[in-house]
Order: sequence, then structure tokens, then C-alpha cells
Amino acid sequence: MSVDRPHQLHVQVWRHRHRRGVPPAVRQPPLHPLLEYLLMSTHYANYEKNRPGFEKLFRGLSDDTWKDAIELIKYITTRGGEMNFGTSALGEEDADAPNFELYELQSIAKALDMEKKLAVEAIRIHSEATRKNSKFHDPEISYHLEHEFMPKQRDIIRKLAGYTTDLSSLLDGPDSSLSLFLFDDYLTKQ
Amino acid sequence: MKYIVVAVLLACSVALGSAVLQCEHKKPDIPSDWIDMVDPCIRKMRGQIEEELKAAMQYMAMGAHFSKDTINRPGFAKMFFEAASEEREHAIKLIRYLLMRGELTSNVSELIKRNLMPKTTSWTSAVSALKDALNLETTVTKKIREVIKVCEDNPTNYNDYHLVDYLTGDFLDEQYHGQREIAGRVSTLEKLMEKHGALGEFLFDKKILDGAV
Ligand SMILES: [Fe+2]
Repeated sequence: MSVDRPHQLHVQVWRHRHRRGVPPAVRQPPLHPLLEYLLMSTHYANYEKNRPGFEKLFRGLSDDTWKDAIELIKYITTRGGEMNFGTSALGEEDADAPNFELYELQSIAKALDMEKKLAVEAIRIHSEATRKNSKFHDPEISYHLEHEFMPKQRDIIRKLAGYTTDLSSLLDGPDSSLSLFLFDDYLTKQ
Repeated sequence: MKYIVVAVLLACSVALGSAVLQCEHKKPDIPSDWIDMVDPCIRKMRGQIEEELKAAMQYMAMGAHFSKDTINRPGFAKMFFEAASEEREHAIKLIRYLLMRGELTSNVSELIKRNLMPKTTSWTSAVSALKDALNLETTVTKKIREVIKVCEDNPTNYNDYHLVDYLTGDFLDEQYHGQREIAGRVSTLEKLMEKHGALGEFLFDKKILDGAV
């Protein structure tokens, strides 16, 4: 998955105007890749793929991601910070051209990777925010991550992990085509 | 973090002879004569999706700007965040249209190529942001007209009546109504600020927040 692509929203630097000392440049949980889920959803909505369940799953992830991005910007400003639209946050590896036209199991695995990556980044920020001996100790950020960010992330990851388990075993059967049809149908009802 | 994707790719690719995972399936044999959109028009439509997303990001930057504690204009922030989401919806509408016409079966990954990050991220006043918004919409309107032109009349001599009607009746309609609304706001705010600069903007912001103007 591509990380450095410019259409992703990125990290911001916190301004700690109300505290003493040099404001540390702390990275905020990066916003989800804003448009990648939209492209994944689009792929499943073409007449050849025709998987309304997968379309709905990725469209839902895309909508949530968009709303989260706006909420995150608002949150940053509640802390006297401002959104930086310039720099990149999500991982540096993976220089391959992005590909969002994947088979069903692969696409869910990719989504799971993206969500885990976000969780890992949030944990990193949390550890910085709670490192009490350093100059940067920020209980409010750790509270926000613990109560707002992490529970949502936990649930998304669990859901996607469950789907990969189901799909892996379903595709290992005699008629994976029928399995996919039924799984897709199941997704339309989620 | 990439392990899962890699593992799945491996699992799928070694599936060929063995009874491992079968991810790939037979490509269905569907008649393709019903797909009648022509290339120059399709390209224009794909480009317009990027335009709408670019507008979405520009509005998001405006929302972010007016949310800052040093700017503190929650009404304008709300208005621009809503505009950002609307622009994203426009992009989705265009995507849905192309899908309905049998397009986007390939090269979906290349749908967004350009840098969508906003060029401007701060404004000297609410009036200047509103004027930028009006100009942004004017640009989008022009681009939609260009799409219409190409889809109506092109070297392949294929007039895409249905798409042209959709863009004219649906998209342009919203553009013109939207532009009139923003122009009206620029007018009211500028008049308010003639004698009462700070107070004018403060009051207008709260009016927008309450949905009163
Ligand atoms: Fe638009």
C-alpha cells in the first residue's frame, strides 16, 4: 500500500502554547488513508466484480475514515494545534504503485494491514505522551487515544480479522465461487 | 504489517495445482455491446472525479483554518467542513454514474493521480475565504461544462445524451445555486464589515452556526 501519496492527509505538529518549555513536535495519529477505501469500494461495484457486500464494506470504511479525518482536525484544534496538510505520516515502506483492484480475501487483508498500521502509530504516540520523565507528558492526548481512538480501532481490526478467518476457510472448500457469493451476500446485511 | 497481504498473496498464488485457497475465478463472459461510452468523454469524467476530490480537500483546509483557536470562527468551520463532505459526495456520484454505465472495470487504482492537497491553507479573513470558495466553484462549473462539451460532441461523433442530461440537470443545477448562495454571503458579510470589521465577522459567524443565514 502506498504511503507517501500526496492525497493522504497527514500528521500534524502540536503547538503547546499553554505550557512551558519548547513545544515538542509530536505526531498525531495519522488520518486514515482518506481515499483508498473509496477506490477499493469502487472496484467491487463494477459490473464484472459485482459484489455489493464488499462494495458496502469498503464504502462504510471510507465514510468512517472521512468523518474521522474531520473529527481529528477538530480535535487537534481543541488542543491549540493546527492541521498540517503537507507532511506524510503513514509508514515509509512500500514504494510500489498502489493497487486497489484485489481479490476479495486480499482486499480485506489489505484493509486489516492499514488499520493495524494506524493502531501501531497511535500506540507510538501514546507511549511518547505517557513518558513522564521526558519533557513531553500529555495526559489529555493519552486519554483521547485510550477513550476515543483505540476502542474504535480495536473493533475495526477485530471485525476485519474475523472476515479473513472466514474467507480463508471458505475459499479452501470445493466451491469457492459459491462461498464468495454467499459471503458477499452476508456482507450486504452487515 | 505487510505480512498479512504478502501471506495472502502467497496462499493464493500457490493455489494453482494444490487444494489451497482459490482466490481467482473465471472471468465471466458478458456481452460488451451495451457499454457505449466513448473514450474522450470517459477521460473527462475521470478527471472530473479528481476535480471534485480536490475541491473537497480545499474545503477541508478551510474548515481546519477556521477551527483554529487563533481564528475561532466555528460557523465558517462548520460550513466549510460540510462543503468538503458535499464535494466528496459529488466525486462518489460521478463514480457511481461511470459504474452504472459499465465503466471502471479497470485502472481504478489510477483514478487519483494528481496531488489533491490544498494549495492555500490560511486566509486573512472570512470574506477572503468565501471569495476563494466562490472562485473554486466557478472553476468547477467551467470544468463540468468542458466535460459536457466533450461528451456531447467529440471526434467519435457520439453524443452521450444521458450523461449530458445528468450533468446539466443535476450537477450544473447545484453549481449555479451554490454559487449564488456564496455570492450572497460575500455581499452580506462585506457590507457588514464596512464599518464594523471584527464585529461584522463575529456576528455573521454565529448566524451561520445557527443556520440563520
Ligand atoms: Fe462539486
